[in-house]
Amino acid sequence: MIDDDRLPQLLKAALPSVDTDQPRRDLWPAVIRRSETRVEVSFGDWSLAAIVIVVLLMFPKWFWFLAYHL
Amino acid sequence: MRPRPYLRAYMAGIVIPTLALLVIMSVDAYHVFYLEVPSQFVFGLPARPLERTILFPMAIVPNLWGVWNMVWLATKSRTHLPVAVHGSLLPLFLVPAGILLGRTLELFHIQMWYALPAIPVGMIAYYLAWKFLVGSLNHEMGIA
Repeated sequence: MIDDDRLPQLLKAALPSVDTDQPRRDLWPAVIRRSETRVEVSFGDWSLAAIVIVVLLMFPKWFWFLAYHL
Repeated sequence: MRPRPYLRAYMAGIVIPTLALLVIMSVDAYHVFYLEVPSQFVFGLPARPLERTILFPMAIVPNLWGVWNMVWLATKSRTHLPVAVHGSLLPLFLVPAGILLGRTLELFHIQMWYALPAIPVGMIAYYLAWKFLVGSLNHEMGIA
């Protein structure tokens, strides 16, 4: 059985010491970069949008059918 | 980690259909109250006025979008589906449910043969909407 004095020593030996109050690198630029990340519109996305527009121009009644489910 | 991720997913999911409904109702109101022409004569709507059929998009669809976004958040670690693909699957449930509700409440009667070809178009539209709109909102809410 491990006594109360031995347990802290084992924990300290098992876990890496955190003896600094600062991160190893500046994390703020990563936060900014993540918040400014935007999904890029690919050629495939433009093609899909064009397909939807062309189909709705060919079948205008489908617009309200789709709008009903949006 | 920010708390209540499912609540934020629900909130992010309901924004787009709620705004879309506002646009659709504005177009309808413009035709009805300004041009004094019912929308079905402009866009070839079914005979029933839009006010009756709007029940489904107003009451069911936004909540389903919110719940569907919650489902994506709950399952993405297992399925690894992008949010756009997950969202594009929603019309597979929405369209039959909408037609069934319309028939049950006798709002309108749309033949399934008419609805089936429109489902892939709806899936494409949903793919784009979920990729760029819901995905951006998820990103803003910190759950993407």
